[in-house]
Amino acid sequence: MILLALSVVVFYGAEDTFVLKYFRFPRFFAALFGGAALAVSGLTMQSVFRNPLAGPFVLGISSGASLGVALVSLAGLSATSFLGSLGILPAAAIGAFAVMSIVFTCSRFIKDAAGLLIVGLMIGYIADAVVSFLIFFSEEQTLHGFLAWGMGSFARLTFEQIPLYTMAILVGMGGLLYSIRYLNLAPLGDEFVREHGMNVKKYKYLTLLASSFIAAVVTAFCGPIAFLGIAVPHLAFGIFRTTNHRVLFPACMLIGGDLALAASLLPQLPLQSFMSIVGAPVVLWVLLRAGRARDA
Amino acid sequence: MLKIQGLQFGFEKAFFEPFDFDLHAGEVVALLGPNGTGKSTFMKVCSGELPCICGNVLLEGKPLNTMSAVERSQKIARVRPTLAVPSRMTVQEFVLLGRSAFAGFLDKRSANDLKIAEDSLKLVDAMKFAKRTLVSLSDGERARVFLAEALARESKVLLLDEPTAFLDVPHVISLFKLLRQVAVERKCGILICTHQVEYALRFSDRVIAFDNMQKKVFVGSCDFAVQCGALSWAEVK
Repeated sequence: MILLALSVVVFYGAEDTFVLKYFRFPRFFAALFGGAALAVSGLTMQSVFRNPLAGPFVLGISSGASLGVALVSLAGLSATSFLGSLGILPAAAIGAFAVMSIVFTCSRFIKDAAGLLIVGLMIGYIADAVVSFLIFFSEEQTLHGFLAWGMGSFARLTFEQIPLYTMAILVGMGGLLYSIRYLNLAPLGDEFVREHGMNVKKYKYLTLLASSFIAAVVTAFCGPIAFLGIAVPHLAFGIFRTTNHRVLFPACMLIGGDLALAASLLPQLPLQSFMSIVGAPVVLWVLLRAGRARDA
Repeated sequence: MLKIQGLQFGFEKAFFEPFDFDLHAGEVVALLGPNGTGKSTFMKVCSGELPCICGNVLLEGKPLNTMSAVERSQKIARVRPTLAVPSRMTVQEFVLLGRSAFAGFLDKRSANDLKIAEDSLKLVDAMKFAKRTLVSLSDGERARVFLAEALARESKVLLLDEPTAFLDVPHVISLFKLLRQVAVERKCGILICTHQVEYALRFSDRVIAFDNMQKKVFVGSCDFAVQCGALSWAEVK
């Protein structure tokens, strides 16, 4: 319902087919799929890491993807050209996978929720710093496009990129959908999953790969987008009051997509700031609630 | 049902001399032994999670290591009281996870699954807190809910790893009574590993005692175990 209303708003007043095709249409797809992808990615990471504060941005996955994009696009390929869009996707994915493998290795030694968050933030800082170095040494011409990308926006997807973008996200989501039984068991720990006859290693790698992949796809085409991934799973729980991923998974897709669509209605507003204002309070709320539960 | 022949288990080196054991339907067998004698390791060997050094573990005549992980998890349920529970999960959701091994890849629960979960909750008398979260339960309530999750798997063999660890005297007694009832009603074999030797002797049909001094495993009735000194380590001198 909300989805329908929002999509009406997106397309409203666009009698001009040119505007519709090249501006409204791509933005609609970018926001809808991007929001859904980031939210589902966050949900997966929270369940697999057994950590309510996990998400693609706070764990540095998005920064890793940014680094991959920076390496390719600042090396001369424009992010908006077709060749560039083919090049940045694998680059973003490799960057995201690299960060995910570091965070995953660290997660074996760090047991508390905030610790893992700090590891992710630190890796994110390192990746961002390397990006800054690349910016410093690159030429002005290539720089402009990259800086605009770095702001994060759903308005940057072009009409030609829509099939690649949606297909890549759907493939990643398919992998997560296939693992839904694992995602339901995962919050209780590896041993519990094994006792229920599932191959822990296979599903853990599949879900972490798929969730960082879809985060990388969104980062590659829309730029880094903070907080959506971490906040939406908590909003979904707040509304549906269940821990069953059969409900949470589509709920996160809907809420994430809606939130992103709503944000994309305000194209003048920087997306990053909008998401931080919505998302950061959710993280704070989770932290405070966890602290209160420990006192009780 | 669960048949153990000439079993030796351990890490690299066997803990004990080979022994035989047969768990029958409807009986409660207590596994006794001091800390660090390999009770939990034995439990994992029985559930097929760890390989044994030599000998056979058969379930309904079929060797465990020839079964798939899914098949094993449907027939043998291991319960640990140390399980860390997520903060938002409710009792009902948790018990329904017991049907995971029977679900398709989309993790749907059939009407039959819901009924089995409800029956399990009723059997352990946990219906009245089915909607509460796991973290809000007391240790006694949680022990029953963990048992209900195992019952929801409808396994023929229940392996309980120190379910009495966090319980006080009345709760230990009620848990043992419940286990006796479950063994008879569900016609399953229950192997319970515990440090509550007195209650174990009072409520179980037979005992397995691990003696790490003589490297021997005693299997037999409760009275016989006391008579031949298999439980001498548990006596207050």
